[in-house]
Amino acid sequence: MRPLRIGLLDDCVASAWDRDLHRFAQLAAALAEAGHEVVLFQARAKLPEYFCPSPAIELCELQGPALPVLASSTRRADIDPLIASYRAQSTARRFRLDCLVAPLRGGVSAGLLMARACGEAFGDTRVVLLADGTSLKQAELGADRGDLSLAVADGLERICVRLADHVIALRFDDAQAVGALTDSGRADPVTSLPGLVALAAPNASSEPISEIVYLAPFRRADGALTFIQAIEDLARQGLLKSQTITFLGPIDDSGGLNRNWAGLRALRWNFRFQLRDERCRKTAFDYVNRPGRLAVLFETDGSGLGRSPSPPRCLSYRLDAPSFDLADDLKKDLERAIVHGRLERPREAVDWTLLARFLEQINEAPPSRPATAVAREGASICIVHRNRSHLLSHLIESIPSEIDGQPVEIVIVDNASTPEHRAKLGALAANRIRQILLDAPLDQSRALMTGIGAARHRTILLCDDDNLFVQDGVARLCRALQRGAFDIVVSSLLVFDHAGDAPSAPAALTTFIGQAHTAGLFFNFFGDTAMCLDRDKFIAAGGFAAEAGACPCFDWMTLARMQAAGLTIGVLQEPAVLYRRDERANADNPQKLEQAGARALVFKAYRGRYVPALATRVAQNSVIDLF
Amino acid sequence: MARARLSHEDRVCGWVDGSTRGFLRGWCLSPDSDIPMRVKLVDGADIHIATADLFRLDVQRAYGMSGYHGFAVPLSKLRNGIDRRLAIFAVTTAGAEVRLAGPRTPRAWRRGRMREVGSIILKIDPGWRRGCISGWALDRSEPTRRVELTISNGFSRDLELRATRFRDDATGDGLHGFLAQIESGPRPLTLIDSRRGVILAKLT
Repeated sequence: MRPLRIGLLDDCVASAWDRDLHRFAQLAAALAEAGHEVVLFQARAKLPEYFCPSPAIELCELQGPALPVLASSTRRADIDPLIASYRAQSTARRFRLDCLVAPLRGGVSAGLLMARACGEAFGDTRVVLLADGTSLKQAELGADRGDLSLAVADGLERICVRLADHVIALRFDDAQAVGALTDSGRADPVTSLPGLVALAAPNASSEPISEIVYLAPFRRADGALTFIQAIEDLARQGLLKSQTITFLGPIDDSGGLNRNWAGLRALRWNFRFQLRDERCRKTAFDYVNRPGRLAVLFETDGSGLGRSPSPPRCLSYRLDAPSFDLADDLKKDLERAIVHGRLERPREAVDWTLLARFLEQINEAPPSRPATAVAREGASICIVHRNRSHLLSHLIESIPSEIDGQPVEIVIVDNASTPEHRAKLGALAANRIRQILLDAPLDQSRALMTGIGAARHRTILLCDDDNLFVQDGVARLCRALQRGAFDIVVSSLLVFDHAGDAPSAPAALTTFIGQAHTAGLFFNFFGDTAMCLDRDKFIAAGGFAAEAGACPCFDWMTLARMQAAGLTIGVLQEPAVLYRRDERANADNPQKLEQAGARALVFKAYRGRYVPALATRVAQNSVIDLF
Repeated sequence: MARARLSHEDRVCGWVDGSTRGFLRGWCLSPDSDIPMRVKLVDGADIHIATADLFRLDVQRAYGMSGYHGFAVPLSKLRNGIDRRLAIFAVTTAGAEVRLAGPRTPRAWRRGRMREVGSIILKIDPGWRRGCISGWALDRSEPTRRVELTISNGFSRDLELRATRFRDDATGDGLHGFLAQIESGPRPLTLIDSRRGVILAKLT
């Protein structure tokens, strides 16, 4: 077996702990021992203190480009998963990896898988995902995050399940949760690895318990209320005479369960207690590892597994596991622990060596490559132009005359420009430019469909006349489509501020999910009009609808319709398009401003293909927790 | 263009724009990090925490960061609306509070009498004659046991309560506050540590 270079990617969002430990630290140690090179990717390059460093293990902090990364939503918390996914692929490009392991929940590997499917990078990297629950399941369990991040993460997770080589479920119910994400066409996404998760041996210490420690974020979704109910029952029975109850973990005072709430609830408590706002998981585990302390762990999924060794004495519960009355179960377990010293709920542990062997096994076969679905017979670029000939010349200059030896034609639909602009347009005419001159203006969708109808090639690129392609942007978009993994390919955008006809220095980078699924109901996470599409499939799915051109954000609505029709949408992670941001011109443009109006139309375009439970949970939380 | 108020000590920039369409709006950021900051609003006795993570194009342009640094707090959340007592702070990741607007010492209204009786620290807020008494009490020898208080005016029935309410000015985990309605009038009050039977304070 040749030594492999394996990347281990931690999830970067959704943890209430500020300082967390890398969840694959123990897997890294197992791989290093087997003679492989390991790169640990994590949000903050901080070495866990109990993790044995090895020269075979490299730590790498996820970093984005120098430019700020934006997305459609106006709220940062909404797009945290998307930005983490973008940063992960951007950082991992620096390494030549044979294999990458990442968690499924949060969708942090979506950008990397998208880049691989679009042929941008990672062609020789196998991607293995560890399914530890899903965002959809978290939403169904009532996760109380007041933002869109669960829906955004759900969209990314669906991409991951579709494009990953292997998805390994930690438990049976995780496999079921992954199965719920597979409307993307993958029949049986889960690879079974029996024995990966097993119960740790219970501790048989007979030392009396002096302190019971709730070890989790102080939130309803993490079991705080369940724990309080059990403790109050014990206190009523008079069983908490000498024990102190400690709440140890992050406390968020902007949440529903905060210190104000705890103070009022505690008016009825006659036992000793303390709240400790501890945000470092390592420090928290060190606290419970002292004699006389019993930890009570609640986990909504497997995200805590691997981050830390089990405390010597603990009771462990999964909030998503079926239970008639979890508070009652906990009370009885605590009673047995206090009175008889018996601990009957040991924590689960992952056998990382088993996973390490699996990674070696799958790397013995060559990586699979997607078959080309669209014939490479050239590309047509359709541009709708109206009175902006001074900007159009920059766009035309950015388009190559051929890609990989195949011709590129330019179809300009002049949407009834003034005679001066039309005269300038005539001067631009060349062999590869075809002009369709309209005497009366059409709305944008009809004008684009006119261009698409006149195009010679099946691979079509669209671009607004004030934007332009980056060098090799056209080629990368065409190649991504012609690889056959997607029916439509959009791109991240390099945004520059309008300060004259020529493009100025980029000010930001905007990225998209592509196949946005439920998240696309709320903001345009699909992509911009600058896209590359398979003409035949696009027209078969209805193309640009006649009414779309007059509606606000018609690219959003059209891509939602395409998703509803079953077309797949990919995203180039590295920008292929330079996008002109002109706030002055858009200040009175209703198509850019009326997001609420657009949502009503997007809702119709979805044709019911969203997850109602997720959409309603997100909408509820966003409205209730406005700040 | 974003207008900035700078605190050079804590490297925080920010501004409170004022209220529009039912929201108190503003922005704050740390030039060292693109991570959205927390904003703390001290509204009399109430404390609200918000996250400054809304997109502001003017901030993005001015600072070249992501621009996700705006905040918008519904005015309906503020009991007293925007009045001179409302203080707004940006909270750094290290926990330092940098004032963006409002009085410099928002807790000045809480300046009250602090006393130590044995191992107990007792603080009583001013204005207790107006039908309400509040403050906090902590037993330093047993901080996890909450102080049980008896409040007596020698006339009507004694009040018994446990000091568990959250106070951000209290030491320890902060859950040592108390609040009780009392009969208004000139009668003196006595606060007693119920468990030990020790008089903690006599208020006249």
